[in-house]
Amino acid sequence: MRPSIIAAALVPVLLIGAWVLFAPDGGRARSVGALNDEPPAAPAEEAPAEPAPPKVLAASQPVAQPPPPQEKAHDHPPPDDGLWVVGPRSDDPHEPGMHPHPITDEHRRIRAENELIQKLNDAMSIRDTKTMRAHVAEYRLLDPDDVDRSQLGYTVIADCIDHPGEASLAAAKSFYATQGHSPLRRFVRRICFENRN
Amino acid sequence: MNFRTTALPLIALTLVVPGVASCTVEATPDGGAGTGGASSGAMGGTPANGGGSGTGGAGIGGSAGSSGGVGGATAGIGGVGVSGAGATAGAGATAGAGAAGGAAGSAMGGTAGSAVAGASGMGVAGSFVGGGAGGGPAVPPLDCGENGVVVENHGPPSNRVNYFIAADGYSEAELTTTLDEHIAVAMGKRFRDPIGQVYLRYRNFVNICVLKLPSPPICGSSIFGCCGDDESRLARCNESDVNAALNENRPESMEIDWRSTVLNGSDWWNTGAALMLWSGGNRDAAGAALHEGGHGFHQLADEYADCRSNWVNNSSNNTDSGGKWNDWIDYDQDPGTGMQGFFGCTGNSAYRPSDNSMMNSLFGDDPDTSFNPVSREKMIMDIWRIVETPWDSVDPPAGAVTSPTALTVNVIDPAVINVEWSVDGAVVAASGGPTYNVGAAGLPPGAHEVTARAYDNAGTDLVRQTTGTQYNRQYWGMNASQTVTWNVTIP
Repeated sequence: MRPSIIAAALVPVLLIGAWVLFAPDGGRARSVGALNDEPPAAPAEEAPAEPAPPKVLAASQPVAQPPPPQEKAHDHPPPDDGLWVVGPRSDDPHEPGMHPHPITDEHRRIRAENELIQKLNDAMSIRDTKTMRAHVAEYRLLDPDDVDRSQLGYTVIADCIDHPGEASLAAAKSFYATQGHSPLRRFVRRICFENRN
Repeated sequence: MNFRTTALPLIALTLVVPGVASCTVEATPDGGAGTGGASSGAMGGTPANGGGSGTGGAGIGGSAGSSGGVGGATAGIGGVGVSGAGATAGAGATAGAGAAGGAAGSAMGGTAGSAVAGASGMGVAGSFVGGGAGGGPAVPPLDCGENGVVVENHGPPSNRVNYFIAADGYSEAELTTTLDEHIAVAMGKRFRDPIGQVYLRYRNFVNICVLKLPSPPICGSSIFGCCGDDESRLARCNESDVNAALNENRPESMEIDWRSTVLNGSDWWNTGAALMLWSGGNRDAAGAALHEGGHGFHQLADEYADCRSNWVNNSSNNTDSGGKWNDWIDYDQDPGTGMQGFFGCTGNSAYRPSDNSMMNSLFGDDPDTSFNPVSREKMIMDIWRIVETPWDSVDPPAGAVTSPTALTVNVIDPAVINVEWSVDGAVVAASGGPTYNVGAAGLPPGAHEVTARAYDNAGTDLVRQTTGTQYNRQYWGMNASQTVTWNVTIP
């Protein structure tokens, strides 16, 4: 084959390769690891040391838009860098792409509590009282006041499972009668009174 | 940048009458040429007469449905063919009589209309003959307590998610004006497709009450001491006071599953804790109520910032969600949040299933602000964690019964719950509706075991990951599909 023909055939290939390598968006197909909508930062400590090969999305799949302009449309710069958060006033901009709230320490505390509740519910559903009690201990550290009496409720239920009898039943009845606000009442009834999940 | 803003319309009273499910005809599985016994029973009630129009500022508090839907006039069409046992053909004869009454419409403050199930069609020996799908028992009034007002009444609290909203900062006059408007706006988005899904599909599974107590304005001496913080955008209330008020005002038998407090204010202060807080007067209050409910009731994570944690909708790995949403990858939720995969949060420290969602950026009213399928699936599991059976009652009660006219499973919502009927171990209707007309089916004399399996008919657009015991998935198998058996004797 003549070299000129080979060169002619290679030109389109080289052009496509160059486009993939140097186009502003890197081409349409990209690793999902690049599909972030926030400025990149150093890898977190939880990230795997050697991440598995990234999944490649087909060209028809959505590609994340560039991050929205930050600290432009609101008068209240977010406490967290890189987040475009709706301001607190009723006339602050509410625009697509903005986030509903920053992530403050209080948000993290609430998040931790919600996560504990999910774990407690999961453990309760399979009657894993050892795990329930461990999570209640964590919960006590997080919320020593137990305003909701949730820690009490989970403990009452764990006692019903571990120590069925008059004492645990009396405690369950007391909880059911006095904590009318608590979503755990339904499960006190099911587990302590009716012995089912 | 898209600067769309959408004014949320105040909803007028919306009376929802569950869709009427006609009986699906099923051929008997083991007959020769059998298409026998096919008969669709009477059409159930049409969605009429669910209730009167709304009154009041926001169009809520409407009067009760005075009657159920009008029974379908359409005759059940008897099937023609050979029965499953290869016996004589049976002309599925006359139609099921149209039922009087459809499912009742519920209304804010209204009570349900009555409904009567449709009568039977006729069929052939051993085959399935459906009955009217209309109605089921009337929904009894919901007691929200002395100071509580019904927003959504869909059935017995023992088999529903019971959502109580305590209002703070509303004067006596505002309790029936401003508060009603705030609730109506929130409900409008909650039950809008696709953004409010899955709450629209499972509307009949959740009762909602509002606790109305007059109060001084927030950020002062309001009854629950609610106010907010501009920096965090968090709302705060005296949780003990809210709990005490709920405890004092709830009906004795009511088990509260979901608590929230709506603040009479327009600032953007909201909190997604177990006691969820939202500012009712903000223009995106309805979105806030959905987002914060995602946190507080469904234990969903924010899908932005440092979203790494042990939540169902976050993953620290961008190739394997650890069983959280493996089955959703490459699923295109349309309309909704689009293609599912791994989308990086801040610094790619963790990943979320979709580019946008209700748990990321709820603003703009675009379908991509819906809950993504991972979240929706979790929401369904949460509902089935509370709701114990797909039906509220069966008639007659399970067990031995002689010459029954019909066997009925009063399902929560025939549009959501299918019923598979079996006779003596053979499926006679995979999706046969709530009633099996034994009298018309022509069962031969003797003892027969008739089984009804009621199950959530959610497709793979809604439910894919049901194995394991995390994230309430075990309740899918435990509660969302259940069987009732009658030992029927035909003399």
